[in-house]
Amino acid sequence: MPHICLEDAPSVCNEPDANIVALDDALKALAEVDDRKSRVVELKFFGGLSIEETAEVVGVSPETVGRDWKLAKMWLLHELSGRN
Amino acid sequence: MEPELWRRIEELCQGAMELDQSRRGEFLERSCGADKELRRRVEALLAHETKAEHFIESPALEAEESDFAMTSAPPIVLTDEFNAAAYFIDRHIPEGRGAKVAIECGDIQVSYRQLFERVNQLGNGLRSVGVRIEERVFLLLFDTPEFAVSFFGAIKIGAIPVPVNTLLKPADYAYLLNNSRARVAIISQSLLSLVQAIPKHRLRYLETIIAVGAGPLAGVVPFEELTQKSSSTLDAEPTSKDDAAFWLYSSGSTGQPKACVHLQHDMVVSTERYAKGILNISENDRCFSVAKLFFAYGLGNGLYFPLAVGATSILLPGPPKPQNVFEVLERHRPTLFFSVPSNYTKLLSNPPPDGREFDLSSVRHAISAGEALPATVFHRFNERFGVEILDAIGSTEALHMMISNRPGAVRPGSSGTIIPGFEARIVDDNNRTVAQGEAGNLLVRADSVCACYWNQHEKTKDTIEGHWIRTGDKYYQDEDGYFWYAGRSDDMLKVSGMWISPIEIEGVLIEHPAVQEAAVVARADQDGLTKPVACIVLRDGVSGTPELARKLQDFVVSRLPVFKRPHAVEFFSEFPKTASGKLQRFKLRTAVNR
Repeated sequence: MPHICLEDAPSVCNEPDANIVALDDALKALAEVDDRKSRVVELKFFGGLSIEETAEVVGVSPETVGRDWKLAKMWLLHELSGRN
Repeated sequence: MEPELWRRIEELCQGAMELDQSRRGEFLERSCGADKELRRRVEALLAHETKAEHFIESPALEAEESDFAMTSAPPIVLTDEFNAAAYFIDRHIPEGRGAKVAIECGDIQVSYRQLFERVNQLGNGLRSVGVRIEERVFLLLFDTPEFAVSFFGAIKIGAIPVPVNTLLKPADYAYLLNNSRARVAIISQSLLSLVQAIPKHRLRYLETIIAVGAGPLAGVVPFEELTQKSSSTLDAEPTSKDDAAFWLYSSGSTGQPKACVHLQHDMVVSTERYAKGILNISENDRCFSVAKLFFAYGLGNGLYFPLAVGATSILLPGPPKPQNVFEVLERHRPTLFFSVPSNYTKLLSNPPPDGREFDLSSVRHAISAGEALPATVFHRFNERFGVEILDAIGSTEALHMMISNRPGAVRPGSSGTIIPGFEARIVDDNNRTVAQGEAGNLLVRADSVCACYWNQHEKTKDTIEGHWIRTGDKYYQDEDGYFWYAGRSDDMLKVSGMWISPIEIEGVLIEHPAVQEAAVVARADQDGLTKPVACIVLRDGVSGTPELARKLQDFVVSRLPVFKRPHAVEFFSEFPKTASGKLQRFKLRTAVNR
């Protein structure tokens, strides 16, 4: 799978007006609550890694990455909606 | 936030997401007890569950600039190596949906993990009976979990499943088996006799029959035995996104059916453009399709749409009689209900039982396709059940929908507007774009269109022109961009120099209280000029008299220009139809021209 660099990241977002800066801030806030989930988002979204690749880097199972990824996205959406 | 509190919130969110929406309240009540703040925090996160699915990225998809233009929707670009079974089945395990119910069929529930393992077993089983990459596997199956297992099991090893209509005759199956050259067929036990009735010497290629639901039988391999003895571990064949993935036979009203060769990426395109783009399908949906899985329409509705997003498919193996459909709707409570106009009409003709109305409150969208949905059916269904039917048009060649009505913006009687990401043109017989409001041939550009008709080069060239496909349908477009069906290209009638749409006249006739079904076909008069004849099936208890015929002609004239008045009315006890229920207009034409 081709990796995606930071500059390209907004183009993989289905919400064209998503604010990458706000997302980054929210990600920092997530890191304070749950560092592993924040790292999963960094690797998957900013790094373009697959679930399996992320699992290998983080050192957990792909199932755990899948669960982390899902909950992290819910957490970020909640955080971003609060900021808006 | 205290780490302990976050761990508790996380645990409760994960627990709730394993459950259906209907059971979550009880779960949180039990788990949170009097801690209202804890429950508020959990529910606040869960409120973002659906939106989170599409947030940041779509799994396995990477969007980037495409080398061809698609309108108003992000392009879909898949990796070159792509196996649809990995996308629709395998992906759910690392994404944490292993325990979620993928398929409900009566009392049977199949989780995503069970489906994953059974797909692997079947893939290995097919290899053990000699199936290789690119070989067709014939599927003559009812709508049961084994359909899903067989379809994706074959795709996973790079073989090509060919689901076929379960309502045909042995001679038809002989043609399809020989045309597809399948060496292996997977068949529901009660359909076995239809294939076994074909003399063996007429089946040039078929070697092995795998029977679903059968005990030990001479000459067949029991499906359960084959899968149980096979490994549940299987790596997906590294197919290309442009490899053939499956075939679907297009049931023309004339001639032999043509096999549409669909590619590995086609199901993803239909899912992204229609199921996500129009229906906003999510993991929380429960899909129930009256159209069977062997139809292109049913295959999306009941199989790859829900499996694309980790939703649940509700399968009905038996006939979709109104009582069966209502039973499924009330018992399994689907959120997306897919049917066809004739079935919606049948549902409406069923009175409420025991003084109470049928409960369709779970349905967030009802969808119709297959033939144009009359506006009267839309209004009656909406008034009775409080559900809007989203009519749309698709085709076997395009795999699924191309034009559709949108939730909250339905124009009853129309097929809706072009689906974002696809394009449409209406052209005359010289390929010139017609003026707005004028009927012409509908061409659609969609990346879900099949690659070709198998071994039908001329028909392929007549139908597929580069990026565009000729749908064979006549349409006109109103000032707001809505497409209105005007009949099949070969059904349009030119009377006194003017095009007449049989569909338009039929739409008026079925509004008459005496009429059950109506079809308008051409008859040549003594001068050889074309005249429209209304063929009518009356409602029970109504007699076809010359007086009623006149009344029907007057009824049409009261709603339409006088040149659209049927020159004659003929009454039929029933209409000739294909096995899949499509009206055979050519037979009606023959009957009225005798």
